[in-house]
Amino acid sequence: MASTPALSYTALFVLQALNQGYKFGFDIMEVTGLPSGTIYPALRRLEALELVTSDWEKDLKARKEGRPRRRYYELTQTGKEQLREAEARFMAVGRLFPKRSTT
Amino acid sequence: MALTRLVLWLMSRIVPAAARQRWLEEWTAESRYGGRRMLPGALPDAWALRALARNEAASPPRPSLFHALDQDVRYALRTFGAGRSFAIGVIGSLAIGIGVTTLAFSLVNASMFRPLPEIRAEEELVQVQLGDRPTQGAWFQTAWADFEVLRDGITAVDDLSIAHEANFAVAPGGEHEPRTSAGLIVSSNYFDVLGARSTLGRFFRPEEDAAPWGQPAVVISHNYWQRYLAGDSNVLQRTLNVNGADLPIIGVAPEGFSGIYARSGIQIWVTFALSDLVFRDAAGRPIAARDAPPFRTTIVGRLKPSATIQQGQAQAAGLAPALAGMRERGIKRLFVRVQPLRIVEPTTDAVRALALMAVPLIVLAIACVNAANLLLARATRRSGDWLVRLALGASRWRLIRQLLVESLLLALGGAALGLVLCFWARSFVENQVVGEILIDGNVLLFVLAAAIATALIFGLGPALSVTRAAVSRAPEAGRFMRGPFGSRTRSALVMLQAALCIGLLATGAQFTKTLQTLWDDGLPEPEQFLAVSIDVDQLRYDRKQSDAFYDGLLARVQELPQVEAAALTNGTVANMLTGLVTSRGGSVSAPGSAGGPIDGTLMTYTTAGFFETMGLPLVAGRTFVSGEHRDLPRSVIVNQAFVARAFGQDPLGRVVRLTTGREGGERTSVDTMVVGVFAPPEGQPIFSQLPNVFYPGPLIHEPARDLLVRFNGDAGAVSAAIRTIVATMDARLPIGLIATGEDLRRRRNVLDYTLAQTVTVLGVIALMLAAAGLYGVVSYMVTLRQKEIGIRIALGAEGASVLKMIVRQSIVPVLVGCVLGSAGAVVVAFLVRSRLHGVSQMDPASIAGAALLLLVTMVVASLVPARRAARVDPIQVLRTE
Repeated sequence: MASTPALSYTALFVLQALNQGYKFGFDIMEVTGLPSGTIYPALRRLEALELVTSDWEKDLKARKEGRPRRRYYELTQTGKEQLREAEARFMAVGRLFPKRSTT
Repeated sequence: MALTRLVLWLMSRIVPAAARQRWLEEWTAESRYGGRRMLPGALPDAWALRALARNEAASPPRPSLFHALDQDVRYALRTFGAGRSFAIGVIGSLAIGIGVTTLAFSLVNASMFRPLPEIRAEEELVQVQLGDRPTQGAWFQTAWADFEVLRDGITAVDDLSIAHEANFAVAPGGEHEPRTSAGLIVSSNYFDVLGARSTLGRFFRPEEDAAPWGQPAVVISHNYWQRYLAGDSNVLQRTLNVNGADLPIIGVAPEGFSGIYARSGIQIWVTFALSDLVFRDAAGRPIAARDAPPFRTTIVGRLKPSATIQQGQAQAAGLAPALAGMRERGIKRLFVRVQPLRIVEPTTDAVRALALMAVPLIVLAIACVNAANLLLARATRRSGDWLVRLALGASRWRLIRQLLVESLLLALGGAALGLVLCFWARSFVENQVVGEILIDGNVLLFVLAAAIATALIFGLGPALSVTRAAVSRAPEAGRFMRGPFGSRTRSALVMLQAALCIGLLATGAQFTKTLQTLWDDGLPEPEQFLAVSIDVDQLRYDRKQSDAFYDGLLARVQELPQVEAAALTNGTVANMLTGLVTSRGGSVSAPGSAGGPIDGTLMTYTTAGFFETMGLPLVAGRTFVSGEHRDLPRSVIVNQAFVARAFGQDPLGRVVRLTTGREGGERTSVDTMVVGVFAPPEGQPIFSQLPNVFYPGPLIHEPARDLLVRFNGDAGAVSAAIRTIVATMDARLPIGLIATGEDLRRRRNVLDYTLAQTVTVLGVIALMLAAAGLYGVVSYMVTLRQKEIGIRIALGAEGASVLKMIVRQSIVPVLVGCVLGSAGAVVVAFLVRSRLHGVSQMDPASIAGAALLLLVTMVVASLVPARRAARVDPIQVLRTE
């Protein structure tokens, strides 16, 4: 999508969280402190705007851990660009939350 | 856990089926981490998915009704540029129609919707009148004593002012000759009550209205200041000669101010302290207003802020018995009316406005029909475009919108041009019509409304019918494009136009003819006849001075080389000629025969030469001789109507007793002998139907007389010569009226004259419009049918027969319209019978004449394009196919 409407703060939070490595809805909730009723609809809208794509966890991994597989989200190229633009506009966005420790 | 799953499953019903399974899976997984507190977020998420799905389904977004309107405008302008004659035709027609209607509306606007100029808070003003009924009905004249009772008795009104209108002889000095000017004698509070502010100087102070001639002063109008005193800024140091008295000018009223009657043309104001400039006692001597019998007044006051008009009315009602008792003869029914100055009656006003605008609206209707016809013809030719656009997916609304945009642009163009025409015709119309034209915001609004309304009227019909046809006939495009589509509608429009046109023409012709009958006053060669009114009373001449003045005037005028005959009368003749029959108080009896007074006899004082001047032939006896009026008259000349009433036959030598003079004043009775009988021409209403007696010398003081002159030559030169004579005799004396017989006739029927003239002019305009419209339609028809005509000619049809066919086909609807319009004209004639003054309600000759004129014009209008059709080259046409 060439042009996207100005991002809401929620969307910005979500994009930034995804950028920092938080991939699942629940993780994003935890790190942003926003309620689930805000996070998930925002994810849907961002996906419709093609700023975000989603995929499913590898079946194998989930089965190994004995739980249903999770849906994880990723920034698209446009999403990354949008986020960079937003960072330029809002200097503090980059320091919203720390990078996820890769464990 | 099971509960969470159940809830999630229920919520998943909201999610569109395609995404449901995945949604459920994701939330099941997420709730493993977040637990039940996740659940409240699931519901908005489900709704968000649903909304997204719905949006995607509804694509592409629906364009609004006015999407890409600028395209339509640009396209319309481009096509107008390409087909200029079409645009010029439509805009020209509409400009005439809208211009005429706007002109009429500006007249209505000036007379009905404008607040009185320079008056503060008009709605607080109340008018007090004495009358024989509580609200409407006759009003009584007011004496000064009445005014004092009213002023002191009605406390709900702040301050009551009184005004009396009169004509003054005003001499500004310099190169301007003295003129009779309308003026008001007012109480000193007059300007304060109305809330007017002076342009220069000040208005009256109470002391200027206190003692008679204590501090004489005059206020002049802005118009008078500019016109006769050259806008002199030192005007306050000057004096103005009013009825022979030099009065210091103390102030100039604001521009446009003329009291509570708009455009009454008041030029000067003086206070009641100077009322003996105008008021006269029974013997004709100057008198103060407070001692005079009741006179015409305008009593106006401003309601106190705390008071209501009902309180004022109640107080006034309490005064009525006292006022009735003050009257000499004791009036039984006397009411004091306290009414708002301006009574707004929207319904009545609207009806009046519509009545005034009816005829212009018919012209506008014709212009609309014209435009509709041209638009229809053009739209038919463009049917190919419509089909292509429909095929490419245009909605019918889009086509209708295109046509509406085009008609709106044309209408706006027409309105703009109409407004220009209106400005241009303004001064001309103001001179012809009694009334003023006011072009202001109201008028601009009206023009805009008229443009939009006409655009809808002439644009919507063609738009609907063309697009309907385009939609329904889409499959057989070829036939539709060339077929005689819309010809029925077009014929109907041509018919309507012809009907409206003939209605106007015939009505105008009937009016004009009626006026010619009415104008017949028996005056031969009215353009060689002058009536000059002079009133030396304004300068307070006594009887001796007055007689000497008029003798001198008559002698000098008779010496003018162009003058064939001249005579003086006591002012009744010019009145008779202007339709105002007046006779001074007096009676005529024939002592020798019947006895009692002969009622309704008109007594007129004349000098020798009167019958020659008026062109009234004597049938018996002699006319007056010069000098016969030196002393009391001893001879009279009568008409046949008087002979029939008084003597029956043998009138010469019989005795007629004249009694004249006002009650309580100078009264004279004299026995005279009939020396001549005159015979007025047939049909002359006043001199033939009413008994008339003419006597050769004034019986009483006659300060106001008319000089009647029959001359040979240029009326302007004779008037100028007479003006010079009057000026050399008394430079202060104004001439009240100087008019030819022709002018008098026009003046007598000024309203009818204006109406007839207007209807006729509009009828001619309508005729031109209709002819232009028919020309346009036939031209288009010929263009459309070019192929058909080419085939006809190829098959052996002669040019003449093609010509005949085209003219015949275009004239048929005109003929039908003629019949309908004539019927309409007859109906109109019956409806306005009251204005036609009893002359036969229907005039077949007028209607036939109008029909003939219309037919000839229309045949000519259709002949031009028909000739083009006859010259079609079949080879050319068939080759291009």
